[in-house]
Amino acid sequence: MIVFDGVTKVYEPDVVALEDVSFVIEKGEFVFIVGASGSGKSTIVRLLLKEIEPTRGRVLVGGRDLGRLKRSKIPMLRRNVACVFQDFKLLPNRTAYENVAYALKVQGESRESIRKKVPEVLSLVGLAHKASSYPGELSGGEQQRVSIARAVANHPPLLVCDEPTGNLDPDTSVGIMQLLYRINLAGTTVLMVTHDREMVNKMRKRVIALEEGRLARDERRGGYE
Amino acid sequence: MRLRAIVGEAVRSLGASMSTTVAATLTVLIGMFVLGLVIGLGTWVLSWSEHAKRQLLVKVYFCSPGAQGCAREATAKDIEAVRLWLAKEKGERVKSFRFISQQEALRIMRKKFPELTKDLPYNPLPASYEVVPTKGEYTDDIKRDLLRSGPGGTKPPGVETVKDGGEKARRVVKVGSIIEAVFLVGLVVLLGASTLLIANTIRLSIFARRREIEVMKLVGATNWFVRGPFMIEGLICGLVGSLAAVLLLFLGRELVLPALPHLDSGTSDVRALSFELTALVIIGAGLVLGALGSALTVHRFLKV
Repeated sequence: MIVFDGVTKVYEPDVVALEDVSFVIEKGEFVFIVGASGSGKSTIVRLLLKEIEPTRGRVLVGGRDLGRLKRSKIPMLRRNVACVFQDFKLLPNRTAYENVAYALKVQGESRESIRKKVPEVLSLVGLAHKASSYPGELSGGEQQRVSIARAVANHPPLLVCDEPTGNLDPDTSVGIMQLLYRINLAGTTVLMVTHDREMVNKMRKRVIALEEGRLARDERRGGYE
Repeated sequence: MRLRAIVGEAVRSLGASMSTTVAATLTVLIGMFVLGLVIGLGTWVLSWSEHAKRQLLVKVYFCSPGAQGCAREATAKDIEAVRLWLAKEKGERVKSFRFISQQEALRIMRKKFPELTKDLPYNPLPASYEVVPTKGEYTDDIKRDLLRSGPGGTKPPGVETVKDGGEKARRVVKVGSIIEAVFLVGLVVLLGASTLLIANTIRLSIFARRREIEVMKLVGATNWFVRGPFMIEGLICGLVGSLAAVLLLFLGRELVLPALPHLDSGTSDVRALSFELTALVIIGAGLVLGALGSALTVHRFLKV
């Protein structure tokens, strides 16, 4: 599903974010990427979304080398690599329903299909009753649920989460993790960048740990440390 | 589906960001109104300048009995030689020319100054050619070349003198050229200022929505899916703003112009560019500025 093959990323002028990092993530896995701030976790997310290019090495998603992917194909990649962010990145002047519908609209879904899928996915995240609320009217946890609903509305094969519980209280974080776990059980590969020690230790999933841009640990059923 | 979705997005966001939409439309209105005024006034002044230059004539006077600097009276052959030279120049520097016989010259003089001419013992006026140049600026050249068109580059035989209006003509040509230059510079400056003003308003309104663009790109929207609605918004603002400018200019033409002192003094060939054409230019400029301004500004934020 995902292959990082000797990936190095150096930001200008000479900040090394990743250094010779290699790992393989299989289809259907749930993987945590952990590490201190500045260890290169978010760089992995940005490389997967092709926001940036590696300085050396290759990143493959679904067997396709992202280095050879044309700029015009990036939207297609981002429809298959859905992303959930710490700051939710919702469109503030659209309701929960419209935020989810927008993601489907850009993928060329028909109006009938959008009318059918959006309530379904909002129900999945437990927000059917908040469909007409604007992000400003929702709590942090609810906004993150909308963001997850938007990400999974079209059943992407890969879901990348960049510290999705970073802005949420512990109880709300548990709810979000349960939701992501259910999504993973349904077959979606989940790659989650996190600082949430307790959550990682509780879930006992695969853990890839980074230290100063290097791969420090890759454990099948690991903990935070 | 795709086009409908893009148009739907544009209409939706026009309503959602009403204040910036109104600001952009008003900026287009002001810019296009000023452009319309400059086109109207400028083309009128240019037309007047051309008219003034068209009044410039070159006059070729032939030797008459007793004329100074003439050894003999002009013969029909001398007059024919000048006619041939003028005919050769026709279409190039000479627009038209007309022969005025001695009798006709006297008749014209009598009409203009009946008191002066009533007791004349004989006709002292020479025959002449009245030459209308294709451009006012050519009077000097025509005079110079005509005076060298005789054998060996001398004054043609039978020609007493050639007059081109002298200093007055040169001043009219100079003033006309200055007016044209001022109009062109003014047009460029105002067009540039309007473009910058409109581009700046569009840039500000899009800058306020840059995060929105970033999110659109991250959920997989293509560049055209993001750019399209902004361009349609720009088109709509451009169209509405320029139509309002045309309406204001129309009202100005119908209500304000008739109240101004009448400038026409038998110069019916002096007129501004037609209102219909000006309106088309304004609407076209509004549409292009709106759509291109939006597309170029959005382009900066699409590199996500």
